[in-house]
Amino acid sequence: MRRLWSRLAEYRLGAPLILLVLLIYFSSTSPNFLSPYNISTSARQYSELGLVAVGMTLVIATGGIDISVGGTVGMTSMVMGLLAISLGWNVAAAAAAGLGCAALIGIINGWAIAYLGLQPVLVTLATLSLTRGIAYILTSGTSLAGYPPVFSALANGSVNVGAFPLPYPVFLTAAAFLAGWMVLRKTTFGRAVLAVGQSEGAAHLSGIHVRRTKFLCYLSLSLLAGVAGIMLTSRASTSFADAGRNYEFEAITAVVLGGTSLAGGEANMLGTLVGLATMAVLRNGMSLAGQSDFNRTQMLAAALIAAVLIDNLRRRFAGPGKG
Amino acid sequence: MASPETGKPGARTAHSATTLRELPLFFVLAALIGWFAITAPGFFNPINLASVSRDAAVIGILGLGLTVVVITGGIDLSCASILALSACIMGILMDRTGTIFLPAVACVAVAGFLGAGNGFLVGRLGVPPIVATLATLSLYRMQAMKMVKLISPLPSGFRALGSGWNAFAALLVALVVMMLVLSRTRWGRRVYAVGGNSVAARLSGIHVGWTVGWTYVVSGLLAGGAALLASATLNSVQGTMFMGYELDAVAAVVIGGTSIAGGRGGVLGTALGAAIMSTLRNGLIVAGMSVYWYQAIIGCAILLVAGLDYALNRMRERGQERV
Repeated sequence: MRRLWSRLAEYRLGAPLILLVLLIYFSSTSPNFLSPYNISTSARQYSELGLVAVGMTLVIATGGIDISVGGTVGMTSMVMGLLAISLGWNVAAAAAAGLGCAALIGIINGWAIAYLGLQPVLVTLATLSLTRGIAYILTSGTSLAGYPPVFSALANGSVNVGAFPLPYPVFLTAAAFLAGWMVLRKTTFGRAVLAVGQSEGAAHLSGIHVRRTKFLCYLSLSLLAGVAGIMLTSRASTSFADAGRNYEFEAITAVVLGGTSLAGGEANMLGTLVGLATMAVLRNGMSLAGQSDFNRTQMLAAALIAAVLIDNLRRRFAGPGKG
Repeated sequence: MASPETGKPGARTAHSATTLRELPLFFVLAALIGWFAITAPGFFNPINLASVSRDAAVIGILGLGLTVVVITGGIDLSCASILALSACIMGILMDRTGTIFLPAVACVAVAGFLGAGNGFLVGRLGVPPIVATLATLSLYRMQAMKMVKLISPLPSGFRALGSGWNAFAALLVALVVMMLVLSRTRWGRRVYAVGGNSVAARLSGIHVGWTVGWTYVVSGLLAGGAALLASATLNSVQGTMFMGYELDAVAAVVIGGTSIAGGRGGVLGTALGAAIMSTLRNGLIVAGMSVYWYQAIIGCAILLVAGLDYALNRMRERGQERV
């Protein structure tokens, strides 16, 4: 039995098993659950969060955390709206400017955390307050609508594969996951990220640019949050200051559900994808079963705690030396 | 093994070090009040100042409990949700029974119990504080929103608690009690010891998990106290009341000079931080600026304080090198 546990622990089958059970349960209880339309809609809804979760996996792998992502999404959306709708800029230029603002937040986060050595929670809490504040200040809280149809099609269009509509944003998110996985698995930067997360001192002594590595992780997360802001604006065809509310909670949940430890030093990009899918399935399945949003959110919170407890158990069974 | 005697000198130096740090906060508060008194007509009248004091009391009392958690190196993001849920349960009880005393006691007891939930997750099960309290933030808030939309008015005898300067007096009492608890009790010194170096604390015979767990109970109890003041001031309870105020409480703690890394800080600074924040919010509104600026300014203030802290540390280190 102990061997079985340690085998399971090694392959981290916990999250996929939970996902499988949920899939079987919901597909047997609600007939619409596995319909192409439902899957496609759900995937579209979670694609923006997926982008953020990829970056969050990197940041958590360094042993840090970023709770400013939701604010960055909202700020990007509003900067874009102000330039494109109120000032009549070209949408692409406005999106680039929004992305630039997101990058600026990433630079502030990365610089303060990596180069000044300030606490990640503190810095990103401050930038969360700052970015959400800016998002509201820009238009005093009013939403901005009236994007050209071409821009709305970016997140609302899809390619039909047989009878199955594959939404455009899903391709983008899949590419981000693939890139994140490749970076972690196949590049020196990816090795550096994990080394920094395990021990900054040891990483420094083995010639890794600890500060630069951490800086780049925070910067890429903010950039991904910026892209998520653009995609969310496109999907809603509207810029709204509240965009990305609770993204920090949901992205962290996806990463932890996927089996990446908050202690840093390990990263499971495919696990994050599984975690994201678990969240989507849980939310969507409970919604089809007529559960309120309150219940769905509570279930997610319980799942988050359960995932951390399972992770703790896994470490115990995997024994010494296994991360 | 640590006896109370060996612990005392360290605690005393920690205490005197914090009182020095708090001097600038007095000046900032005085300067803010002076500035708004001159530039914002209507700010410096007794009725408005009393309303500022009520706001400061709620943020301050939430912050006092949070300070104790932060000194151990943890964080409690669920404090505002505990406030809402305990207030909602109290509101229901008052509505059904028409009495005041027992529902008020129940409010504080429920809040302590909810805090114990956090304490169990963090202290006993070893869930990282930010994840545990992020999860209970949703759990508790959703429960409050499920139970109560709006209950108003509350019994008239209860409302007296929120009139005039009563809430502020409650803040002062809570402040003095917490200062005594932190500086004069064995548990208070253990809190600093655990935050300063948890391994050293464990080796000197302190039960780290137990000490940490109790800080969350204290945070919960104080959130229950804040719930009494908040619902008496508003003369109503709502599931959504004080949503997002956990960030205000964290900001008050950080502006008050408590290190988010743990081991350093005190409750007096937090109370001053809360006073600064509520003065700022009220002053901006009275001066006719959009309330949205408040959030962005608080974000900048946190970054500023963190930056100053960094600069001071660097200067101190350089000074030591020269000696």
